[in-house]
Formats: sequence, structure tokens, C-alpha cells
Amino acid sequence: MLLDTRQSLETPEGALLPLTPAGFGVRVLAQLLDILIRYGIVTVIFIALSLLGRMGTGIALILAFLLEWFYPVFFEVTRQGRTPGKKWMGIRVVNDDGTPITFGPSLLRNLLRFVDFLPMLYLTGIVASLCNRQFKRLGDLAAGSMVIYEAPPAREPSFEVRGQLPVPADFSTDEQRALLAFAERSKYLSAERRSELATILLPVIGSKDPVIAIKQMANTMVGKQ
Amino acid sequence: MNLDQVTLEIRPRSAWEAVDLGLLMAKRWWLPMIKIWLLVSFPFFIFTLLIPDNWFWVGALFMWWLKPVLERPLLHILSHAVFNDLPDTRSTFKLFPSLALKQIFSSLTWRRLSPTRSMDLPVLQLEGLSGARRQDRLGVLHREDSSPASWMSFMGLALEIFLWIGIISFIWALIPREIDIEWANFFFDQESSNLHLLQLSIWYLALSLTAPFYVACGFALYLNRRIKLEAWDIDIAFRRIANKRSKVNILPSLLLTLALGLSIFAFDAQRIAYADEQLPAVAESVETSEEYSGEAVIDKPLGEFTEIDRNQAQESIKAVLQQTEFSRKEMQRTLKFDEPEEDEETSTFWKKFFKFLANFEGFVAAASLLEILLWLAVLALIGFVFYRYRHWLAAQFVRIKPTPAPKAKPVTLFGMDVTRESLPEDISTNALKLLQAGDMRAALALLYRASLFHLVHSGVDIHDGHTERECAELMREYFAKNSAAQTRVAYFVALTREWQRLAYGHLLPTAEKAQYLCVNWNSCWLQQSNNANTQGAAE
Repeated sequence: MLLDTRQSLETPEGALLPLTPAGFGVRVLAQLLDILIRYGIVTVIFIALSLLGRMGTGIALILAFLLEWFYPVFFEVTRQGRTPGKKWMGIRVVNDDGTPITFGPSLLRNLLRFVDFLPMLYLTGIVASLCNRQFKRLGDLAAGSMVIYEAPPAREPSFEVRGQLPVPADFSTDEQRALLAFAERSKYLSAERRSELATILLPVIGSKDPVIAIKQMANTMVGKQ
Repeated sequence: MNLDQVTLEIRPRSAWEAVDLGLLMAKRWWLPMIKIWLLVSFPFFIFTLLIPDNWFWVGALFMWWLKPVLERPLLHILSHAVFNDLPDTRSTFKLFPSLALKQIFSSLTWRRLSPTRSMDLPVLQLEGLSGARRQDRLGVLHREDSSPASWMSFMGLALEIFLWIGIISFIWALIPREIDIEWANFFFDQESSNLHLLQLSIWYLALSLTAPFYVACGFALYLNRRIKLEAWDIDIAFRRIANKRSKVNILPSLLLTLALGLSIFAFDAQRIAYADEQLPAVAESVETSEEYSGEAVIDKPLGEFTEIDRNQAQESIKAVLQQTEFSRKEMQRTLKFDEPEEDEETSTFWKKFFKFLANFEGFVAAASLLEILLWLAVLALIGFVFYRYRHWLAAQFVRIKPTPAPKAKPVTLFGMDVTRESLPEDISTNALKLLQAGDMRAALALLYRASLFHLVHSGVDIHDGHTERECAELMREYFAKNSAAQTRVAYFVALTREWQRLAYGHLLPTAEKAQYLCVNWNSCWLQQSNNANTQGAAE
């Protein structure tokens, strides 16, 4: 079996949902940003409320408590599993089955954050996440949740070539997808590599300039002139 | 490098996803990697143990400083394992001296603290580049996706230190409290430390645990960058397409034509037919490429690239941007208040205001009020929880018999009014009056209604669906143990029979019978309901 970070869930309808679990590196960064935001807010609250004497300090302590425990829960439930830090890093929390996270699991995984934190700085969580394929820390295991990468938004393809060319009829979906991938990514390849790749297909498509021919086939597939 | 043999899913990934692939790789080839790591690094570890005790941190630093060299055999293992060619420990160990000596001086001096060390190592070790060519290559590789490499170096160091402290504190936590020694001094006090051996061993353990992951993550980043730069996945897919077609086109037809003895003709015919199909398409592509050859949309071959003077280009771009098509001037007029300068006053005002707020006695009272409110909120919350889950609590802890809902007493039975308001005070007298007036039906109806009223209110469960006969039965059951009420039961049975005959059969009872029923109603119902009917709700 090929080693891959992507895990596909099969729905009852037989459709494959590709999910990509996120490992500890990106999550540590997201958590760092969240901590910065949280402590920034707490500092502002304390400075502002300390003007009100002891009562102000009391209110500030209560607010700090709420922020510490419910900041991730609030954002995960209302922002589809994205705290500001996670959004910045392009990851989100979902349930095991790919559905959006709800209040119960979110609360559980964030309360158990404390266990993962032990003995210091998420050592338990990191070790636990390395012990399963979905990179779940203990809180995730208990709550049945996981952290995944968000799919990058699809961009409008531009192949920098005009004209269309019919795709050979015997090309399967995967093969057509390879043609598209070539046309989309050819601008990131060096010219030599580009023609080298296209030449592989020369016996199949039989054109004078296979790079342009493949791009024109891609134009046909996406409906561009 | 053989892409057919690759054991990874080749696909361009985001940078952090590549790091995760590295984690998976480290897990998969953990055993061979840790074997060679221990084999290679153990002599150095022994050497650090020989360093005098009060210099033990030098030993720890030494181990850490040597990591770039000790990690090289791990990369060797990984780079072969990825292409399904896992080398055995013995051959890797034999290779170690040659691997380690490559550019060892620069690796251990000015490049030691490079944050992208893990990602750069493959360029040195696998591509064998050095000097300016290495720099160029690194420049290309670092153009994208290299920030995780720095982060992983930082996190790796943090992990090593935290693992070290974590394992020590774990051991410390296992020491029973009864042993009353200042254990903390043993571990953390520089002067009186006696456990340098243990500390160094734990440090070595921490380094060993993190090294395979660090190497694998860096290698995965490097690999991902190359997959993106060289489009390995497209390479694989295109080769697959070409191989499939060549097999389909040539092999079967070749076999077939050999069998038929017509190999050359058939083969040519097939190729010609194939080319014919493609002809119009080819012509079209030539046309389009000619049509747009003057524009920049089509990439020129590398040979025709002409150098442009940078400064000149910049100036012409500037000149173009200065034209009216690219710029626009607008004038906007808006109203604005003439604000007098009051900064001094306001600041002193705010100072005073906050000082007043801070010293305000009322806040103490407000604080205690707030405290009371908070406690009330807590109590209310507890109360709410109890209220919200009262059924569940009752089901768990208290077996409360559900109190039956009180049944509404019927107000009409058989279409007749059986309320107290509809009945006169003295039933017997009124019934006799009606009887003497010749209205026997009304007299019996009054008696029957009054009887039903008394029955309903003495607790007999009669409702609208019962028949007259069932009413009598219910009454008999209800008073079965009450001997004093038997005359009443007998009276009601007789009354019911006469009433049924009259109401449905239009058969009048005899005058004596009617008289008897009228006269005896009071004595049967009123007297006995006082004496005998203990549950008499009617009264």
C-alpha cells in the first residue's frame, strides 16, 4: 500500500470523501496564534478593568476564565471548526465522519486539552497523535473528532493557449485529469521539463508540438476557447 | 530513481501536509532508522560519558552538535526506502564514513545552526552538490514551502528539551514521598548533582526519539518540492498512458497479424488510419499557434529568449502607467468640524475621572452586590438544572407513584342533567307532586336523575358511555361490602328496571309501584348516605 497523508471516507452512497488529517506541526502553530490572540485580549481586559479596583479585577478574572475555556469551543462551533489560528493555518476541526463539529464533541476535546498538555507543552498530545493515522490527540480520540486541512479554493484554470483539440475518446477520467494537471501546472515547470513530459505522450497524441496540443485538449475539457 | 517503484502516493502537497507525510514515513521506517542511529551514535554517547562530571553539559552540547552528521545514514535509509529499496543496516553502517565526511567541516560550523538544515541535507547528500551550485539549487528549493523546515527545527529543539525535562519529571513523580530526600537537587541543582549519567542518558534518549522524525520531515519537504518542480505525478501518469496505448496498439495487433501472416500490411494500415484521424486536429493546432505566435501567451522555446535591459523596461513601464488610461485624479470636498485643541484639559479630566473611579467607595458596595448576584445566579442555575431534569432525577432516586388525574364528574348521563342545580331540594315530595299531576314519566325521570347524581358523587365511576344496566352493576360492585347500603342497591335496581320499561318500552309502571318509588326515595338515599355511606361525597 502506498504511504499517503490523505484518508478517504466512503459514504453509504459509495462516494469517496478525501480528508487530509493535519499533524502536530501545523496545529502547534495554530495554537500559538490562538494563545497570542487570547492573551492579548486578556491583557486588554485586565488593563481596562483594573481601573475599577477590586471589582474590576474580579470581573477580569471571570472573563479570563471564560476566554481560556470557551474561546476554542465558541469558534469551533460557530465558525465550522475554525478558530482564528486554525483559519490562518488552513485547518479545521470536524467529526470523525467528516461532518461539522458540534457543541458536545468540541467541548470534550477542548476540556481534555489539559490532559494532552501534560507533562508540559502538549507532549502527551504529540505522542498520542503520532500513534494513530489520523493524528488524533487524546481529546480527539475521546470526542471522535479530527483536524483536517481545508481544500484550497479552486481557481479558474488558465492555460495560456488558444484553440481547442478533441481529447482522444479512449482516455479514462484519470488520464484526462493528468492532461488537465499538466496544462494547469506547466507554468511552474521549466521549459525543458515541460517539453520532456509532453514528449512522453507524443506517440499517443501525435502532434508537432505536444505541449500546445495537451493544453488545447485541456481547453476542450474546461470549455475554454 | 525509478518512479514505478515509489512507495509513496506522489501528489503535490501543501508544505505542512508534506511534513505530515514525513511523520508517516518516520513511523513506517522507524525500526531501520533507529537501529542505524543507535549504532552510529552510541560510540559518541560513550565518549560523552567520559567527560568529567562538572563539564557534563559540554557532553550534552557535543551530542547535539554532532547531529547533522549522525542524521546522514538515516537519510540514506529513507531515500532508498521511498523507492522500495530498503538497505540493510550492515551496508548502511559501512557507508557511514563516506557519508559523514562529505562537507563535514561546513556542516558542523557555520551551517550547523541553519534552520532549514533538514531540508538542505538531501541536496548535499543525494544530489552531491557543493559551492555555488548548491546555493543555486537551495535558492530554487527554498522559493516556496521552506518555512515549515525552520519551524520544524525550532519545534524539534523544543521537543528534545521538553522530552528531557518531561522524562526526568516523570521519573521524579514515581519516587515515593516517604523517601525524604531533596530529589529536585539531584536533578536540577548544578552544584550538587550526582546524576549526570542519568541526565545524559535521558538527553541521548530524547535526541534518539526525535531524530528520525526530524530527518523524515525535512526529506519529505525536499521531496514535495521536487515533486512540484518536476511534476513527478504527471510523469507517472503520462508514462502509464503511453505504456497502456503502446501495449493496446502494438501487442495484440502484432500477435494477430503474425498469426494471419499479414503483419506489415495490417500494422501500416492501422498506423495510417490513426494518423488520418489526427490530421485535421493537427492542422488546427498549427493554425492556432501561427495565429497567436506573436503574443506572449505561448511560451517560446528556451533558445529564443532575449535579454531585456531591466532599467529600460522599468522606465517604459512607468511611462505607460503615467498615461491617462491607468490613472485618474479626483477631487473630493467634505465638511469637517473646526475642532479646538483640548488635549491638555481632556487628559487631566480623564486622569481625574479614572482616579475617582478607582477610589470610589461605591464600587466596594457594587462588588459585594455583584458577588451576591453571582451566587444567586449559581443557585438559580442549580435550581434550573434540578427543574430541567426533575423527571430523570425522580426516575433515578425517588419512586413517586404517579397521582391519577382527578376525573371530571359527568354532568349529563343518558342525555339527562345530573347536576345539583337541576335537582329540587326535596326529591320525594316533588316526585309525588308530579305523579299526582299525572306526569309519571317526569316523576320517574326525576327519581332516576337524583339517584344518578348521588351515585356519581358518592364515588361510583359512572360516565357517559355506560348503559343503565351497567350503572346498576357498578353500583352493586361498589357497595358489595357495605351491608347498610343494600336497600339502596335494591331500590336502584328496581328503579332502573321501571325506568327502562318506561323510557324505552313506553310501559307505565303500576300506580302502586310508582307511588312506592316516589315515597321511598328520601328514606333510601338520604338517610343511608348519612349513616352507611362512609365515602359519601355527595353531601
